[in-house]
Amino acid sequence: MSSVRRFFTPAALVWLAFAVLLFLAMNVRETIHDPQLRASGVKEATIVPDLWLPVFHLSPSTVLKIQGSDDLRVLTFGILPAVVSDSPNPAATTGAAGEPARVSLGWFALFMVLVEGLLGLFYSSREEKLVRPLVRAAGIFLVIWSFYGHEPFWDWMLHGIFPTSPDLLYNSNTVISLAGQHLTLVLVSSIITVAIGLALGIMVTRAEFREFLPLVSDVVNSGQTVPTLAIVAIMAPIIGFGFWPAIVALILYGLLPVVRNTIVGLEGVDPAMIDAARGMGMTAGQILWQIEVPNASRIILAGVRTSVVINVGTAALGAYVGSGGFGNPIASGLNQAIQPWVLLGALSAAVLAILLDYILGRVEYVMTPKGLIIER
Amino acid sequence: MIEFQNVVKQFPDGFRAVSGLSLTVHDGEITVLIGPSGCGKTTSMRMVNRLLSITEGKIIVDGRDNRDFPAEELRRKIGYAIQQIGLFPHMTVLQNIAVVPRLLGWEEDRISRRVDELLELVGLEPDVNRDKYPRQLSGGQQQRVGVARALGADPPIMLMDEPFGAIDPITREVLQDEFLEIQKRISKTIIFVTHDIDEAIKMGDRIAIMREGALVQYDTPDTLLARPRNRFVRDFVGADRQLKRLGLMRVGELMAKETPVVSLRETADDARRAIEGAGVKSAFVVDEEGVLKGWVDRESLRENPDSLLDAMNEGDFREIGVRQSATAREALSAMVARGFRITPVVNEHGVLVGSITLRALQELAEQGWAEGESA
Repeated sequence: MSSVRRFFTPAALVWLAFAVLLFLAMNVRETIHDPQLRASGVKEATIVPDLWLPVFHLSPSTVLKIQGSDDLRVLTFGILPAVVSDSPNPAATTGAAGEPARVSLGWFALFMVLVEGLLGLFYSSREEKLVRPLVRAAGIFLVIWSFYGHEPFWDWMLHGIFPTSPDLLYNSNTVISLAGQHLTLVLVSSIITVAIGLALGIMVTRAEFREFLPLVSDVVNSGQTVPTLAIVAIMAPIIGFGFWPAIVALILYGLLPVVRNTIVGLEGVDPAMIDAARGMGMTAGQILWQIEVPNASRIILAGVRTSVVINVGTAALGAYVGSGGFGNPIASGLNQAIQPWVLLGALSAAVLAILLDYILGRVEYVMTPKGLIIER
Repeated sequence: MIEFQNVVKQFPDGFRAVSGLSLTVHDGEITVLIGPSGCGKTTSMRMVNRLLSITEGKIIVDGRDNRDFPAEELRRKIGYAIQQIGLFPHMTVLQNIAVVPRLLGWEEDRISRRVDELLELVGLEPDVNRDKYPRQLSGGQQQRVGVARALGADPPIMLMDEPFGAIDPITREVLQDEFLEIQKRISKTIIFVTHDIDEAIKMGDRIAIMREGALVQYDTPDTLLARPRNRFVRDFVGADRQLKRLGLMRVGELMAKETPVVSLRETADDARRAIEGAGVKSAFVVDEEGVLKGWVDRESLRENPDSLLDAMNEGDFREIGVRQSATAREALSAMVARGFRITPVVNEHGVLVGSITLRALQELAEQGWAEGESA
């Protein structure tokens, strides 16, 4: 009885209902309205991509009683339709444009399996609690990404909102390729931002460079006050158009939260702890990496998370220097007064921001040392 | 052995925290540095492992100038425990204690054996506590781990900066007693900083009283209490120093072993003869095993001249006697409370081993007083 009750928890039932709903939606076929899609030969399609299976991942151990190594099996279950991209049912895919996206998605899923496997090897079962959030984050990413790649879904949704509009989907790029461009902008700029921000934050909290602390704070703060569009506009004549000027602007703009939180986090480490570490004979480097950074990691990671989420919004402005991303449909839609394009870009960017925020939240949880979050 | 030779510490702002300190810390002893705030006691201690640099003079550690070693290498050989404990919250108890052994490159087997050994030494069950995080421990347990961590790589020397300062008084007493027990077994050379004179008297084999960066008096607790060098030391150790001094002495060392005693099997006449023969007022009564059962005095023998049992004032040895391991101070307070002029001394089984008189204790205290005044 108790095992039955554990199986059918309210949460499990909700997840189950969600999965059944998705399964049913897979068989509902809708007429395609976007003229471009119709021109490519797709007249009707299901609104749900067939890559929804990782949804089971969203549930910790409820729907399928997934535990331990079962995570792997379910993830593989989700990958199968992704890797086997030449599906016999062309209507369920977006046709020509859909396939590359699916293949790359398959690689991504495979990568996640590898990550999970490595984490599983690295951590003992005791720390499984730390691995699971990451795997679940990957599952959510897969589901949402598959919706990005499924153009009939956008067609169905935009048609529902703008029934009379002649144009629905953005005509020069698929949603998935826009998402790819946008994500690339955000990831590349964020990696550089974190590297620079962390280095700066660590440097100015060392005794030798402490006198630069006010200067660095001021510069980083002022970077935030300059309007992003102005930075983009200034960068374009200097570096030219395209990817890199947008990256430079994103770095300048995203630096503040990383540097500020690194400084706050490192300064907040209990001086008694550092005194003890020094007294025990740790070198300055050992104190930094083994004591200070782990204890400040929570605050530093919160800064990284803020920075990345800000960058998702800012990256939309990159469209003005031709760096691609969700800024493209927004800018073109505003120019040509095609509202579905504006909504498509804005909505997709918003979902991406929420998604990255969620994933980084999980990363934050996983990377924060257990001793700092444990309860008595 | 640690030797301070004319050590001076001047901070960049010109403040002279230590001015010409010369002091020898003996091997296997706890040397307490004590004094009012700002007297330079912590500064002096922190120069030993070079957490602070020495402005002038030198500190000899194990026969070598402590600046001959790289600072990190020196510190790994010197245990370090502080009032704020400074445990690393992101590391387990095991990882915390293993910090110095890992820095020294010990093998994991040896480390885990050492950690278990240390946890047992400080009274924490290894299996229960090894994988806990500091946040899961009470303050007292954390300080025990702090001490274990300082002992991690079995350093010959330890520096302890008010290690029990932030702990409630009851737990502090327990930790002090435990640490003294540990020290009996490990005999480390310890510099112990405190501002609490009672702690200093209890913990120290020798006490160095400092004032404004200079050493005022460096002596054993007994000498310090009996012969304070000047008014500052006298004030610092407190007006009750004679009593404190009694607190340093064990009853077993002070008692008179010859004491009039009668056995339960003997008669009232025997008791009378024993008392008169010794020229005293009373005698203790013991059973066949020598366990204290009560006492008889001249008055009670006069009232019951025929029966020893009737004449005897019966009493449990725990109530009328003092343990030989008790301090003279405890014996004095017991006598004052019970209104005795003489009290029997017993061992842990209640066997009478001697007696101690109020007068003897008074003389002891007065002797200290007189010595103090003449100095």
